[in-house]
Amino acid sequence: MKNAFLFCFLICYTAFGQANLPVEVSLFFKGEKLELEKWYIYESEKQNEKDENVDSVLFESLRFYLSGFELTKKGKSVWKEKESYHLIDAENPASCQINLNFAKNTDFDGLKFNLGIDSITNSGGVKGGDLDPVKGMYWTWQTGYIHFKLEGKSNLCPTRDNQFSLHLGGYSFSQNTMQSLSFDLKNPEKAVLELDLSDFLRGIDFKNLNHVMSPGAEAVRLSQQAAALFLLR
Amino acid sequence: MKQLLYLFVLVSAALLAFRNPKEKLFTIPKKWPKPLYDFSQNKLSEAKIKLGRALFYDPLLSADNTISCASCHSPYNAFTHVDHDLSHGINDRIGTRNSPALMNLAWKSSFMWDGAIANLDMQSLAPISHPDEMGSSIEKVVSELNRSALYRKAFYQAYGDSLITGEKTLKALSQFMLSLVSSDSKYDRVMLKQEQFTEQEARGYSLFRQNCAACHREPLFTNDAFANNGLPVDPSLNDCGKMKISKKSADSLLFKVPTLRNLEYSFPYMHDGRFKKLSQVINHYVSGIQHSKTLAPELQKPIILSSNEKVDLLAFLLTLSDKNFVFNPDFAYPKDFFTPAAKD
Repeated sequence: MKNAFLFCFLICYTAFGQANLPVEVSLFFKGEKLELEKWYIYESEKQNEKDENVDSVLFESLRFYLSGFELTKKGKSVWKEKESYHLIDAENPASCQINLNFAKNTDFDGLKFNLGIDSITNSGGVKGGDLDPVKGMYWTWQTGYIHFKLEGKSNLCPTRDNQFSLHLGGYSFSQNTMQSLSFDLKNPEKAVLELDLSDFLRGIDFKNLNHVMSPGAEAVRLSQQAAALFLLR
Repeated sequence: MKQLLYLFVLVSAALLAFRNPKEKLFTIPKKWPKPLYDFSQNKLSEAKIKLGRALFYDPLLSADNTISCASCHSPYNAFTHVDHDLSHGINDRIGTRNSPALMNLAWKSSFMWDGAIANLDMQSLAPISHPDEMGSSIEKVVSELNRSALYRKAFYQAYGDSLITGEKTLKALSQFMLSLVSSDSKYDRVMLKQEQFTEQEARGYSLFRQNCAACHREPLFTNDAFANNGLPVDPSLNDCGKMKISKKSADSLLFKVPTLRNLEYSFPYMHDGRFKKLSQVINHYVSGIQHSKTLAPELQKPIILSSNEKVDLLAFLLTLSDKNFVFNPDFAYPKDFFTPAAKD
């Protein structure tokens, strides 16, 4: 049976050929390539006039899921990646390179994907690969993936060791944190997704918000904020 | 015509080839509803069930190798923990809820007293990771399993690949838990007309149907839903039940309706194990219901039972005991797996 598939695949391959679109995720802080474990200085938004607004921040880890990649033409889907789940890990450069493979004659002018994992996969049975719970991106005390995880230290955090951890997830109804993103693709040869974390921090009041570890309104708001970081170059 | 014949031969050959040689790893008992678990994503096999059973009994799953799933889910207690009102983990740590009895899990749509977990495969992550239970993590469990020659072999036999992953580990655990079907109590045999209730049990059955069956629906003896059954809040726990997960006030004090099967073996009762005896449970429903905003509609009207009727109801509830389930050698500690030499 496997051979038959392989045979069909080869026929298709020779007849139509394959094309690909490399999608690169590029992480920045204030326009500089993001480095983990490095102290950055930035101006936070003042909550009060009197507040000190110069903060130092250090990121220990940044991991998030991109899923459901689609190519579109005039807004209509022309190709969908199968089993499309990618865990992006700032610590692992290979994870920031996604390669989409599709038939050569695919005509497209747009790219669609989700930040996070859809609710059916969230509530379904266990899966392998990037979705394997050993990746540490699954909540154990309740069902659901952590869609976006940012951990580090900020001098503004009145917590032990100035730590903050933002674990954004939640899949059901009003708690759903998955964000859909779509972009026009000017260059059909390569897509570079840029995220600048300094923009993310601008909307966070670290003094009062430093631990988000369950689904809810905060997680939804921060997920929308995280989704707004994505720019396509 | 000839082509049709060929087609027929081909189809029958294919059907034969795909038939499980030792079939019926899982049977739906007569007149039971369809299971909710999606078996197509985790095809049962004898080797995987065997592997899951070994994992279930192995304290390797806990941080200090002292606690296995079976520590709180012992077969002889219908896979729960007697003598403990609340769960009991590593270093004698005590949890906040009573460990539930495990059976007929393929028919459940969610897990935990508050329904926090939506899929059986993911359920095991909770006790493995909880600091008051096994205090470990699936990452650690998988890396330890990968270091064990015994498990590499067992995973190879089950999956044709000795590389152990979280997915394979959790699926094997699900397979063993899915095999825990209890459907051979006296009640079941009476329903199949193989046996008869005594007069007392029959009276109890009719009381049960009038007063309890709306939530503890036959044949699973649960409606798989959540309800506030009028228990006063224990101020030392302040457990708000499902509301903790859904964050909706309408879910305050709602807990999973548990099955009543094998009650005799699975004391103490309720989410916090507050009742040691069945008679206390019955008394609660007759005279202990506390009215509050979210009290189950089924309990708004008082349940009135005379002391004789209480005894009759109890007699019926004891017909839900399934000895063949509790003492099934296929569910017990897998001595052969851990000490293969014992066979010689």
